[in-house]
Amino acid sequence: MLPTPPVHKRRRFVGLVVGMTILIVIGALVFLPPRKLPLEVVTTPPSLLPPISMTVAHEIGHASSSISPALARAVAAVGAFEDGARDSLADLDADTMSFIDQARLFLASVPRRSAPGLPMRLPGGATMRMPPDRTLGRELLTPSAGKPIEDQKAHIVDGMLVPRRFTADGKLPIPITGDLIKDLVEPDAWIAIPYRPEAVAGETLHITNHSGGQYAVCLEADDYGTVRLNSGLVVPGRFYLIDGTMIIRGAVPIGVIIRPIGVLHGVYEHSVRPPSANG
Amino acid sequence: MNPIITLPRAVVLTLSLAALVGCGGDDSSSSGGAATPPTAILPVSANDVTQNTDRLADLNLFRSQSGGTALPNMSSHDALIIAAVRHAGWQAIDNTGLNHGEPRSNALFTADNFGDRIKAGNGGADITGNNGYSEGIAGNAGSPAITLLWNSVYHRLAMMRHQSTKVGYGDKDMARANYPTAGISAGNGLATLDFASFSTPAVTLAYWPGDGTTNVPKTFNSDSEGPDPVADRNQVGCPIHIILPQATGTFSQVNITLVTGSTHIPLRVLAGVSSGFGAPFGAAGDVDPVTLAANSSLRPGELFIIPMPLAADYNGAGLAANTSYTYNATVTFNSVTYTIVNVTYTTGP
Repeated sequence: MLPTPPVHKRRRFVGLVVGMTILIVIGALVFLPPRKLPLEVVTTPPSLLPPISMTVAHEIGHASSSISPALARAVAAVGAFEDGARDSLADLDADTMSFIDQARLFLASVPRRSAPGLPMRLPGGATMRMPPDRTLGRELLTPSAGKPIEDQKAHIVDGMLVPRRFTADGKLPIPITGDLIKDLVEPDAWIAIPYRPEAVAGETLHITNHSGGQYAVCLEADDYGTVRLNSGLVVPGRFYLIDGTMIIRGAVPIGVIIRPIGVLHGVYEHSVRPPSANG
Repeated sequence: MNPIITLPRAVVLTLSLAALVGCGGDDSSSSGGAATPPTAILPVSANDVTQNTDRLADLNLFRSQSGGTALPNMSSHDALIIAAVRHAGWQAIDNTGLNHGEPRSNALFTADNFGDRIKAGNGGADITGNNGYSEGIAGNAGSPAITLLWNSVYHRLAMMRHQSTKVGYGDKDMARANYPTAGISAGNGLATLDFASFSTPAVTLAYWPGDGTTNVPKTFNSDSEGPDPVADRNQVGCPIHIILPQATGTFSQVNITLVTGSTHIPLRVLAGVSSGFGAPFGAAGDVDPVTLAANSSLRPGELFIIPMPLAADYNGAGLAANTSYTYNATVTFNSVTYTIVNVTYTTGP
């Protein structure tokens, strides 16, 4: 038998090394736990990088019924920071700071889709215009990538939205009925609901959209520790799609701001819902 | 000066000399300290119902004149009527002027706190679902009293707010008719309005006067209201009132013009201290100084614009009679810009 030529031995050796390396890498990817975000002490101004892996969020278990107020505050603060409120992370207490990383991950799990951001002209000529969002460094979905925005098509007049219905004397009709269980009955209204839990013995506020238009809701509060939207967490200034019945609760006064989607620049599909069990 | 009495969850403003009295607060609830009334509390009479139907029509006419989103009509509530009628009678017997309290007992004494009086009128319980009571009192009665109270700042709050939907009206004549032996002297006056507010409906854009409103009072005597919303002037124009669909936040721009012919009317803006102002706060157009309201009665998103025609002395001047005025407003609140365009109203005689 002829000896194996040296060049063949070298190729076989190189192939063996490459093959083992690939196996080791694959094995590591399969069997090693996913990389966790390092805990870090965030200083002001912190550097907020996008989360490395969406799947990491599923490792963190939180029963929705026992969401820590500190986590809720962290989600509000980090979300506000991402939206451009650069002072939102200042003066957080240590407990809230400890949830910063989790808050980043949870926030990344709620997609934002863009909306037309058009001014609305009321009968009589009054106009109302939302300011541009301050969202920074976030890839936005186009309207066509999300659900179709009906308001965008049917009601644009010269770059403005106009309400679909108005009264005989030229006003917008009363758009919402009910007390603690409210029904949106008219589209295209700009609405504020002062929710004062102490005045209603802590009962929740329910809002259901029966108007035929698309709406989103934003919650304003001095302290977001107890504020919940459908048991999820919210970020100040962000609007969340009203889909089905929205249940709002909190131990502090909440300003409930409702806007037609057509006037918004962006909307989030739902509130931030921490996983209820390990995934 | 007008004393300000702070009660539990209530701010009660008493003005003893002028023609109307303002309750700047909107959150009076019962204190739980009501004594047994010397005279039994009677239910509403047929006359009470008739009078309240007429006053409701007056009130709802003003509300219907607003622009923006339609304001819901107010409706009557028996407990509020009972409380208002008895308190008008109490003031008539007390005969010391207009008073939101009942610091002394007489035949129609119910309670010192108007929240307790309303509760007593409701059989001892708060009105279901209410989240605040308010009270306004005028020296006169009937339709002129409603106009007098509407032509003001702090009194109009409860009359125009979206959630202030239940009202009861009482005056001296009504009290005398219901309680003929209580010792109420002849002559009418002391129109008393008690309001209950609820968490519904929601707040939407509303402004008054709306386009085409006629017979707008030409003069508001600001000294007649306590606290005086225009401290350095007595006569000014009837306040323009804007309510924005916002719950918390700050103003960053108020740009308003009020014009008749080619004449621009100087304006003063009042905003609640709870609203706050962004920095830098922008005021332009005919707006001269921007003044935070003297108390926290105004909620965030509520603005009053006071026409202040040029006048050489403290007494000032109102607007011209039977004259059309047009206002334009661009207001930015929480970075949301509201533009109200070419709203024309006409003053009365």
